[in-house]
Amino acid sequence: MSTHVRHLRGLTIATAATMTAALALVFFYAPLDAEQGFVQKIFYLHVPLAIVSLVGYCLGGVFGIAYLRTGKRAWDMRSYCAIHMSLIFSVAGIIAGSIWAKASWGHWWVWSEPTLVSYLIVILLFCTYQPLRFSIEDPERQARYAAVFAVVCGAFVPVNFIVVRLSVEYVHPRVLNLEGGNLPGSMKLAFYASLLAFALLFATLMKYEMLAKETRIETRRLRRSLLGDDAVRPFGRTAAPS
Amino acid sequence: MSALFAEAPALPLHTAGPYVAAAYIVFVLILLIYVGIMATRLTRNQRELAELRRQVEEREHLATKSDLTRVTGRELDDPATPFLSTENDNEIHSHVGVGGEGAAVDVDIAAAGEGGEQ
Repeated sequence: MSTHVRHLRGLTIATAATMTAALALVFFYAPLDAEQGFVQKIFYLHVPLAIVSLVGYCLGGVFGIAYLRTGKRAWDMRSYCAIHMSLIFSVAGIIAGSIWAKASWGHWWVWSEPTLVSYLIVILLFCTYQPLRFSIEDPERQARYAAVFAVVCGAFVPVNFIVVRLSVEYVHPRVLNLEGGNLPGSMKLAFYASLLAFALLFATLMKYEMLAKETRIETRRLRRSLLGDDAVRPFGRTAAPS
Repeated sequence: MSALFAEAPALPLHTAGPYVAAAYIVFVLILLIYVGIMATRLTRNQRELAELRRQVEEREHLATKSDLTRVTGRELDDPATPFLSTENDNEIHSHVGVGGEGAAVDVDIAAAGEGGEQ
């Protein structure tokens, strides 16, 4: 078993325990919001999903740099899995946000809101990552180009975030800032527990995906060793590292 | 569990409840779809591994059979002359080693006595 899938069982248990504790804190400990009431509970799902996904995109860029520096395929695999998981979290986050918007603003989507639109742009940008990989057949070139893409787009994410924070016209609430935000203590505790739970979930699913992909590659390698090249169908075009 | 629910504050589900439930259910659904896809891939991989194992065992069996036939001059499956009942064959050991580039099934038969040629 490779080094980056060690401690998977411990991580899975920690994720399950943290997620259970976070949900308990969200629904039974954190008080109801004075303005929005019960619908504000979506905050503990939507914001951690958005934060973790954005950090995941940046991580994909960092892993891309590591691949370009070392040339090791493991970094390409990490970059691919981080971006893949971030996309899944982003889609869940944007749907949760849209439901929250409908409940509190009366609209599923507000095009004039920079936070929403910029987040959508980031998602659409990273949606092109898989087609980019798929369009390149040679695995070495695929990994190199994908790493460059991950680095450039990973750098775009914090820049985009800062630009949106600097904008003045918005209706999207700002509950977190460098001074600690305007959340009361109990809400803050539930939020940080939720953020930790989603970060652990991200790490666990990413490691499971890496393990599955490595097992698949190992099976093919074993098949080729035992039965010869003719016994193994060529990979053909695939977006995943091979 | 019922005592825990009795102690827990009641959730105001009448107005905002469906929205909150929808948001969390969507997340769980997306997670379940992802896990389902991963499970399908894992099943396919397991099936391929099982097929690989069967082919390796088949090869091992064939290699053992041909080598034993060469060593003893008798057919492995011949019920009239069982292999381990003769004086010449007092140890038959076989193992399969797999690894490295182009590694193949490696059968090692140690047959003591006069017929112990490999």
